[in-house]
Amino acid sequence: MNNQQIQQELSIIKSMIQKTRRETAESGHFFIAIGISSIVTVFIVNLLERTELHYLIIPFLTIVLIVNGIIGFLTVGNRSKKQRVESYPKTICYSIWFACSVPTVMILFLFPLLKLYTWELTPIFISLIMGIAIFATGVIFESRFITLSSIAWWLGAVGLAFIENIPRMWIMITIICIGWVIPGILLNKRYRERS
Amino acid sequence: MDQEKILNLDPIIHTPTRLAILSVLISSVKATFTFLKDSIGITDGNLSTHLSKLEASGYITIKKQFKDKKPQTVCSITKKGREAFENYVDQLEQIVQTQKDSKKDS
Repeated sequence: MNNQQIQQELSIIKSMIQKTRRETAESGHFFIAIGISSIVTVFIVNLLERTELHYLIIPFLTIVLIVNGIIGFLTVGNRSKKQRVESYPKTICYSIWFACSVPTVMILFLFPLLKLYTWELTPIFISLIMGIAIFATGVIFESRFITLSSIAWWLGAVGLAFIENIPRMWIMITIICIGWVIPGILLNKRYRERS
Repeated sequence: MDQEKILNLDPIIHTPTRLAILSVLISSVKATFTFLKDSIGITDGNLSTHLSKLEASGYITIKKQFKDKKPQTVCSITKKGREAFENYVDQLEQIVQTQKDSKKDS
């Protein structure tokens, strides 16, 4: 076996790993969709608060959660049908998001209903959890920007603790843009480059 | 010494197709037959033969399942296969290093 043959074998390994990585790259659509959906939700919740229709907030959030759940379930189902190769990063990433979504639902509905705290505190706790999910996603997909955008979620949580009313809504929208929409666009850009 | 290392190279992996199959499977949880075929660029029959050899050696597992009423073959690497692949790459690196050292000496 000469040096040329060894180089040939190493290039086969490299080429196959690159092909697999291209196939399993994250499109970022999930982040963009969830970001836009959250911005619309924040706007409507704020509108309901300002028009003093507080009693509609919980039914509205329940509907949003159910609709997002159905869309997410259908999207994942559709993806898995088309999926020809399953990668470790994606599997770990989906597991982290699932693990973070369970406490998010508890924070959003269960604990406030049990009157452990008021509804105003929910965005603060959710921001803390989303920071963890985004940080892990950034590390998995080797994106420094996405990893650092988790800081926006954590700083946002601090900001939300001290600011009330309309500026609060704009803080939430800014966090969602930095923490979901922009990382989604970046992942999509990288996905297109690899494809 | 170099010759000895080459002789020790795992004969199951030491073919371009089987090396390519393991390279795909090492970087994924599982891959379909279609993906392997498209990535490597070989015929169904050829791929089946190589997959059977790897399965017989305990390096991969092959699972036949139905997805949307269509048959689908899914392959994944085993712990034994992962170790064998890692050893193989280590040996290749050692051969390259030995060749570099011998060039320096001469």
